[in-house]
Amino acid sequence: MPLLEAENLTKSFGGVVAVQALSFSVGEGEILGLIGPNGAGKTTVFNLMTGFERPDKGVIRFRGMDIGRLRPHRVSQLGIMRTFQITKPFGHLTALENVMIAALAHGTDMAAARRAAAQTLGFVGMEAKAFDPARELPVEGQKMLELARALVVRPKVLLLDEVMGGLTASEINRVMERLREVRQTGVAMIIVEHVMRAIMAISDRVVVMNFGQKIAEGRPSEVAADPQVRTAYLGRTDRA
Amino acid sequence: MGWLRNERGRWVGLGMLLLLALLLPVVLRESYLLSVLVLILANAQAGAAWNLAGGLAGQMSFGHAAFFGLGAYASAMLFNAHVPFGAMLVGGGLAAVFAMGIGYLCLRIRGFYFALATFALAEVMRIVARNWAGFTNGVLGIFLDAKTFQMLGGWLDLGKLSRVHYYFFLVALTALTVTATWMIRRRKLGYFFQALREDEHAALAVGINTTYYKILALAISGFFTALAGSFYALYTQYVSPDEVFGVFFSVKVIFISLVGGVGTIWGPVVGAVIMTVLEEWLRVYFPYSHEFIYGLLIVVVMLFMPTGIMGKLGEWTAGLEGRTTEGAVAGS
Repeated sequence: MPLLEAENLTKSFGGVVAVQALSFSVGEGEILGLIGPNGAGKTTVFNLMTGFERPDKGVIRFRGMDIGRLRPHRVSQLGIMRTFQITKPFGHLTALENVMIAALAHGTDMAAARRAAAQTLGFVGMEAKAFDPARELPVEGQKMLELARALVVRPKVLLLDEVMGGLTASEINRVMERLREVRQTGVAMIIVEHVMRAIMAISDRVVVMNFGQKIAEGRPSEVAADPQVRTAYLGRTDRA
Repeated sequence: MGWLRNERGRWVGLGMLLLLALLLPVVLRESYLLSVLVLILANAQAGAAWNLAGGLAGQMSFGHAAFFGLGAYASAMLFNAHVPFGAMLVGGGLAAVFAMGIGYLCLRIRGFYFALATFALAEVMRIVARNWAGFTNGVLGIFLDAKTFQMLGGWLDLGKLSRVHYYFFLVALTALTVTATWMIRRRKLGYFFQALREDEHAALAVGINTTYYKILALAISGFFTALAGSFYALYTQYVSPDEVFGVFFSVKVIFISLVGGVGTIWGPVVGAVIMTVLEEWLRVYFPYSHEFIYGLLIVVVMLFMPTGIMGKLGEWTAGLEGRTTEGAVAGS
């Protein structure tokens, strides 16, 4: 049984269909890449999976339980943690407090939350910034903070929305290494990323979306060779 | 300012402040200065009460007069019904329940619109109090019944209480409200309130039930604001719709917090000292334009010190703060 699965997921805003009849699943310790051109509906998928949006149709199951109607904090409490593409730090609080709050919200006591937060900040390479107000961190720092807030609760599923955007090549390598370590503990991940090098290297499986629909699914190498995928990304080349 | 950042220094400072507050009336006796002190404390307590929701949890209410008025009317009516004791708590409880209702109604409204909605609700309360004459005595208001004062005359005659007694009571009430802020702020609850203020979506994503904490913040803040209202009723021995439900109170508590520093523990106290002294001083020297100058000064403060005085102090001493806390964590 997959850990988290979406079946026939559909969502439209006004007349625009953002996600259409999308099905996919991710299992324990698996990394699923979710790619597609801008506006393909990837962030909407994340919003649907985490309770920020209600699907018009379709089912979302976590360990077989329907979670499509749960409010976001309930989804989070189940251990399904997300990050935001446009970072949402608790700006006036320090990086450490940002991460502590996530631990506290998951029932950890103050002292343990502080320890866990410090440890997690170290894990993502942010220990030197622990006492900086979050709003003063550069974008890359805020992305790592998003990741730390999700990791500190020991999640079952991670939904990462472009956490590697803006990072240098060596920083990307380090984050990928960290994500592989996390995966070793059985965490399932769905990763949206525009850094192709990273997503192709780290994903076990890739789902490609375009205009709200799944146009391809498979191992990274298969997907990269798919003519439909090439068309979606590069435009039609056969007519040139 | 190092001693301010030092835990023991802070306690010593706090103790001295409290001692000073308790000794002042001995020197001042019944005087104009004592009445200014009472005003300062009343403003500080009300500011601190607003700050719990508006500053800490970011629920920018423009209608705290609703809670203040509820507390004042509940106390006045209970008092006249010969139930003087516990009137304050009943008023506070009523206001807390009312605040939960407001919180629930305004769940989906944020920022500017939340301010407008709360403002409108307070106005509704004022209009109801003016027009429901059978229950509230309408625009005439309610005088606290002197008979009740005497009824207690056996061992405690409220009618004979001096300003000094009220002053001591206010010191306790203010200390209670500030301590509540302090206790909440350094605990889980305070962190959840602040997360709510900083980013509601992020708060949800990390697992915080924002609905619950929004309502809770308003309820706690409403409770302490109603205590202010109850005190007002007992102190002035008269309540009327425009006085206790009027927009002036709602605006005043916001400015006190803004000037002192929104979301900080001591901000409302510092703000109350400055605003009250300023108001009294302007009233004497600019009898015809003091409200205008008062407003102008608020604009100036907002322009140059948007984080308030405590916020500025915090920035100046931020380096020290970082070093001391870092040391503490490294040790844990």
